[in-house]
Amino acid sequence: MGLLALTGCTGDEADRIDDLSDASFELVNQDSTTVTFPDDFAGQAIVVGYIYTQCPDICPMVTANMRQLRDRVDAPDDVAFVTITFDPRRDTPDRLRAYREAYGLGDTNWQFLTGDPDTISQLMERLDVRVELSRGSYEDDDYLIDHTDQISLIDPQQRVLFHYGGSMTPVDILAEDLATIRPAS
Amino acid sequence: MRVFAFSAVLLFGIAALGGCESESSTSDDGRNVERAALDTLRITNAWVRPAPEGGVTALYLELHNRRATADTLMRVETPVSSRTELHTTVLHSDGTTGMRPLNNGLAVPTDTTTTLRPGGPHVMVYDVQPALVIGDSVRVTLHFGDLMHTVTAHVRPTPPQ
Repeated sequence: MGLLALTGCTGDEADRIDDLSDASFELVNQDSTTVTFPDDFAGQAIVVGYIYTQCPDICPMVTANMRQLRDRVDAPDDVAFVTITFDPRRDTPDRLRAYREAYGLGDTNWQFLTGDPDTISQLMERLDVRVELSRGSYEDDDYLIDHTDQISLIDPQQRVLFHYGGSMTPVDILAEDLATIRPAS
Repeated sequence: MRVFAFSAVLLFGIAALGGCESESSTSDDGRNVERAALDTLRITNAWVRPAPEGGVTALYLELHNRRATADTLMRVETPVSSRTELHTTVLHSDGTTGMRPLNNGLAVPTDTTTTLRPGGPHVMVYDVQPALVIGDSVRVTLHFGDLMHTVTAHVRPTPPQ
């Protein structure tokens, strides 16, 4: 069960963290193609991870956890795996593409998204991801970020149902919750 | 598989302990120093995450200090980067996480194993050149107070089992 969610997963209003059906965030993916989040994933369950590519420790663990989940459920078409950067100033589409390829995801439909800083800031706030510089400044391009370590599950009706500790939640728990919200389930 | 080798280091006749991955060792002033098998600093399970060219990565490993004295890991060199920093990962009370530099190095007490691990102390490697691809190997040299070790770290996405 999602660590921060209420009990059960019935789709009842009381069980959701947020409803994104009224939200629309214009982002770009690793190929510089415009992606409207979450609209472009309507009808799919969405597994969302949050990273910045200059993070060598926690963020790769988030990606690795999502990758294990994807492997566990055999990469079905009714589930979208999406990674969103909270460092849009440095994480350009090119940088996200290189990162994605380095992690062996270049041949998948797993999208890595970025956007303009204001849009990303609003999206992170909406998804309960806190971001704060811990060293340096945006001006010098050499900074570190304190951030929420999180993976979220969004159902096909674009309701945010679960937030998890992104780097440490066992894949079994993620898979169990994902199974309850997949369209085919 | 590609191997990114570091500059030659004087080989040190380190004892062949079981599972040892330490490859070479020398005192920092260049003098070879013979040490008994029980007076060694072994390094095992060194690995780094994949990274795109110009990206960052983290180095992890295990330090087995069987010397009679404590040591401190002060800095790390590798041919794939001109900048590394010793960091540890911290978890704040508000649930956020982040990295903090270990400005005084990483203590390696005597007769203990100190583990650099995901979510804990690690070596942050900046501006990786060239890209590190799963299956590659990287030579890294660890500098302690009075000696250094060179080992091979394997590029992999998750820790060795």
